[in-house]
Amino acid sequence: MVLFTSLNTALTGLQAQLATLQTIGHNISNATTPGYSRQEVDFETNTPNDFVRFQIGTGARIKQIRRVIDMALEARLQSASSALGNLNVKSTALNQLESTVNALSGSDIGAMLDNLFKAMEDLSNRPADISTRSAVLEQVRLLSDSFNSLANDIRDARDSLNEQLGSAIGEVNRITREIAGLNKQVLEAENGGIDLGAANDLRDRRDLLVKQLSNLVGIKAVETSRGEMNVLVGSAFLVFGATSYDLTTDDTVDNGSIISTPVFENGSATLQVTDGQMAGIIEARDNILSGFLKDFDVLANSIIYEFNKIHSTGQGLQRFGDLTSVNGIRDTSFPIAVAGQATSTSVSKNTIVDTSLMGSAANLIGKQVLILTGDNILEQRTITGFDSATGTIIVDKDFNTVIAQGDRFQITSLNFSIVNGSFDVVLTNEISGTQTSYNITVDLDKLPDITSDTTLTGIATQINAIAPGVITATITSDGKLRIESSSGDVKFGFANDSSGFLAAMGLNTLFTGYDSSTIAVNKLISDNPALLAAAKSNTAGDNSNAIEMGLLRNRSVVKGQSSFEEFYQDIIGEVAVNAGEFSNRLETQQLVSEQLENQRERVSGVSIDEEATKMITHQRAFQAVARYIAVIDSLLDTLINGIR
Amino acid sequence: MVSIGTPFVSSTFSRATTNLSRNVILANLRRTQEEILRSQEQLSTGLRILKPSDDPIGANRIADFQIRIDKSDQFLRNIESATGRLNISDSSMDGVNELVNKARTILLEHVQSTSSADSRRFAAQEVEQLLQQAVSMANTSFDGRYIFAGRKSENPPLVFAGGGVAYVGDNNGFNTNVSEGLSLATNVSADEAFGVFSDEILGLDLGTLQTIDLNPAVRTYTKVSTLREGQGVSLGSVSITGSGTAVIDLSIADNVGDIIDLINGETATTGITASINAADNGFLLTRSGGGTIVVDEVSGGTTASNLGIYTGSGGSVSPLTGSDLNPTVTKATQLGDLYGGAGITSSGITITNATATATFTTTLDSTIFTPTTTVEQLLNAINGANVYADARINEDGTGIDVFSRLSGGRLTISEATGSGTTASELGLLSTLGRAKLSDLNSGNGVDSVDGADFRIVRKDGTAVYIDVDNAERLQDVVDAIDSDTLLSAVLMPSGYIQITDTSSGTGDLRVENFNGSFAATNLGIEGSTSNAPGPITFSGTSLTFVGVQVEGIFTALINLRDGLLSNDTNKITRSQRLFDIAQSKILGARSSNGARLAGLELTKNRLDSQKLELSKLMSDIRDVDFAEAATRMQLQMNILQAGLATAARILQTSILDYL
Repeated sequence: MVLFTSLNTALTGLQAQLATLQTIGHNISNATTPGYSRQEVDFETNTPNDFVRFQIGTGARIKQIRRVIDMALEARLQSASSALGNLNVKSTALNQLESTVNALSGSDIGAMLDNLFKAMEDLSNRPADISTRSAVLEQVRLLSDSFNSLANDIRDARDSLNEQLGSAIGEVNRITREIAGLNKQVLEAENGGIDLGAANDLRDRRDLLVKQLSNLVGIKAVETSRGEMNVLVGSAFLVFGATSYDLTTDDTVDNGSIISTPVFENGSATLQVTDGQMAGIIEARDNILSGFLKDFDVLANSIIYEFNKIHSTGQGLQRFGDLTSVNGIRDTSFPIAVAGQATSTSVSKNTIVDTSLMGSAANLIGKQVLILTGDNILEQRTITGFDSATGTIIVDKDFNTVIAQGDRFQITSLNFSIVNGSFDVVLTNEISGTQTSYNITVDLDKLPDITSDTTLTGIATQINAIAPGVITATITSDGKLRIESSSGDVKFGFANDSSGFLAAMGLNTLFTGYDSSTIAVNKLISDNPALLAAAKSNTAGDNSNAIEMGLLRNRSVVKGQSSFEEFYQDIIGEVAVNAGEFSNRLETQQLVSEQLENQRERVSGVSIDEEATKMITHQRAFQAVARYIAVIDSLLDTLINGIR
Repeated sequence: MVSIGTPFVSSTFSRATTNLSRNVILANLRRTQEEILRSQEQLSTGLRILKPSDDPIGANRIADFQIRIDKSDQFLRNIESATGRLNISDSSMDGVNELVNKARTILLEHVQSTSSADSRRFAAQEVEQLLQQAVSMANTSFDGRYIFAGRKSENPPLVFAGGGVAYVGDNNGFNTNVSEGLSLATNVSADEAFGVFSDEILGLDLGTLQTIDLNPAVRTYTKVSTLREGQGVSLGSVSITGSGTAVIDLSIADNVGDIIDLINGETATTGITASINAADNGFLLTRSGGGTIVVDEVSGGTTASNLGIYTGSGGSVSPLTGSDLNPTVTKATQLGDLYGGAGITSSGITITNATATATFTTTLDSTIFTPTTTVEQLLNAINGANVYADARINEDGTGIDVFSRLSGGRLTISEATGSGTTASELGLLSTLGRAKLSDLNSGNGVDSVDGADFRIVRKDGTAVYIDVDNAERLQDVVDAIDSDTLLSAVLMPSGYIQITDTSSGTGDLRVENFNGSFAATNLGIEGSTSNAPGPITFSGTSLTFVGVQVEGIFTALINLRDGLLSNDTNKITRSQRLFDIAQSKILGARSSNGARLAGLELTKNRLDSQKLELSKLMSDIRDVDFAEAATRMQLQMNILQAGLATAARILQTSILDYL
């Protein structure tokens, strides 16, 4: 009996060494497998035979085959991966933006502005020369084109980020399903958690998947007492046990682009994306790129408005016999513009509070409101409600941030500000050359009430009173103002606009549009360069309007603080600083991630030399046990064959 | 980031696995190769900054420099164009000056009465030639634009009309931007160089002969920018207290009516109503139920005082009449608003501009002079009337001036009807009192020598000496005589000077030429009245005057020509004065032109050296230092090679070779 026990003992040794050798072989084979953690065999002594006064050991057995892994390190790797994914997306987006803007190239918006002002100077030296005029109009067109293509490129970048979000979500869903599946398999393999940690390879695979997931979205992975890995985003579960929860996108359309928001498909909880590629995409798309696009829009809007204010009050080599405004007003019997200023910061994102509107009888519902200053500059909304007791306006769609106290706004369907003032209509007798001015009042002082202010119909009435039968003003079906002269001898132009009406309506304007995508040269002028208003009178050699447009270069007209070029340089500077900053942070994060990866390698990586050395040890041990078996065998042989 | 000391990945822990070695080696190799690539890019483009994020501050400065260099380039182009124009102007003026010299020679030759009518007629043809040449030179063009035409540079500024020469350009400067924020007139005005506008008929108060003040009324449509003699008012807020206090923001007001509306918008709080005062020159604030009105400034502003309604904290009892806002006359002012709202009579004016051979005249009657006619319409009517008159609002915005633009013509303005007063209300009526001495006596003027020209000997024997050099207009001479305490002088309506002697004595009242001058004769007052008790009076002979003329080179040549043609020695002699005036004008114009050219040259030099400096500064930031970049790249290559060599050794070593 004892001998067979010895054989058993030897057998356990053989099995143990064999298993170890197998494990070593497994390690060596998987030396380059990504996410593999080297496995070590832990031996323990077999249960000894108890002989009361002494115990005899019965050999060795394998306690466990465990992965050499540092789970705390794994958690740090996950968050590093999230940060890396986030920064990677943002850095790429900013680098792309920087190339799109293409500053320092000599063909960017700054260069186009420079060329336009140069052409304007040439115009002031030769105001009547047609080729000089055409050159100015060409520069206007080129400047507009560079704004348009910049706006398009940014929009394209946002669109492609949006698509990237879609595929990231698809990838997330695929991974979470696999993790859920692995959870089930691990549970079964480990017998419902009894043999915790036994399913080494499955666990390796699961850990790798979790790391891949963390690159896509910031997560927290928690292992339960049963060995299942639950994955949380914020406080909501992506994976719970063997169940995974899919994500999908909630799509809205903004200005022709689709904006997707990631949400849970079953709507069970709110999804808080704080890190990973998805967070990077959302921030790049909604804050970074949108923010810069808004800055360019502000610049374009300012260029359009300021040039138009001067151009519209000037005269070209010809005056007009029939002119229709470029823009129209929706409600022609409502004041052209109602100015306002927020008297307190709004509590919710869809209201504006202006106590000066209190008690007004005006029907504001359905009108458009344009924000003129503050964080929401250039935003337009439709008014859906008005509480005249408190002076609160409610709009159809939230602003990006709340309206702050002091923000100026205007209730108008136009895209530029119009203030209380007046403008002159100048009639020219083309035969005698005599010019006569007629003042048109643009009463927008909201006194005695908003309803008494000038409407578009009121403007038309005033113009019709100038030279009845000769000059006629009508309002077209789309709310545009049309002025006609019935006499070939009488032509008209404009002067002295203190209200901004001409520029806002688009009467004799140089630019059309109101932001980067819409800015364009006024086709009426570009088709007929003689209409370019270089003068302020009907004298062909008068260059005073060209001079005034040239002086725009030095005036601080953007947001009342910067010149066009200063504002542009500020934007470029910000893009550059941000691109550089994210580039640096990305590089740093890459280093951090690499350091952590290497740390993992040191802990869990396979060293072939090490395994080879171990292999020799265990090989010898195996050989020793085999030898022992041979000895026991001979003993048995002696025993069995020795007794006759 | 470009730096040699890029962080490398270190292996500080003791266990080195297969993958670890590979990862570390690869990472470091990758970094070094990226560095090399960047150095190569810099070297092959010559730029240190490839995109703004490489050095945002540097990129900003480069952009700034580039803009400034571009602006300088443009200014230099403008200066070149302006310099060319001014140079041509100078040679034209030089040419005209030569013509003047030639004309003087002719004048001196033929001014003697020994010159015959025939030779004078021939000389007149020569002068005609000179006139044609002068006009041609003044019609010089450069770069497709007529340089002496002001802004009307697309057409020749001088044309022959009715035997005279009319200036059809305008009086505006042609501006050019020559440096940052500096826009200069870079043309020589025809008036400055040659004299193409007369210097009369100014709108004058015909009693005092001071500049007229048409005193437009304040109306609701009066623009704020025209108040305070055109200074305008920078509108802030005012605080108005009646039964309650309101702080009213007036900044959106465009005209006086807006201010009234804004104040009245707070009547419910303050009990105060605003309107225009009875004199139609300012505001009126009334508090309902009477009481004190306080109008105070807000935050140290000046709005209330500029609007003439400031009371200070003590306040003022209702009604508060605001002070005179003094709006200027503008093109939009209506004739009915003049003289504080009283308007002017509508009978009208007649304007006549006559040369030796032609007369241009127009009458503007009550169809033009209505209360609602604007000043612009009136100016248009005068300027469009083909009488070669130029009507403008005067510089101070207090009245209207009318100038002749026809050299060789004489401009007069008279009432359209016998009893009308429009011309005199506008201060434009041509009267004897306002006539210049040179325009008296068919243009022969009044003789003048250095020192006193005539004396008046009173009854008491005292002689009062008068020097006509001190007088511009006939009225000035009358006033000079009148200033003596015992003499009084008056210009009688029928056109003669009447002198009254209130001294006591036994002598006659005598007016005598003095010092060789013929002034007394020319003034029609040479003579005497016999002694008699009490004040005695001497009446001169009636004087006539001709209209105002353009005092310039063309008039001089035309007058000389016409004098020679008509064998009129006086006229020939008179033209001498005009040649003097013409030449000193050209001299003055050329010297200020020279100063302008010198200024442009200075600016050009400054811009040139500035450009150079900026280019250098820009290059320092933008361009790569080749030596530094090449050295750096060599170093990086060395690092790469060492890295590759050692990597190869490390990766090959394994215990398996030894087992």
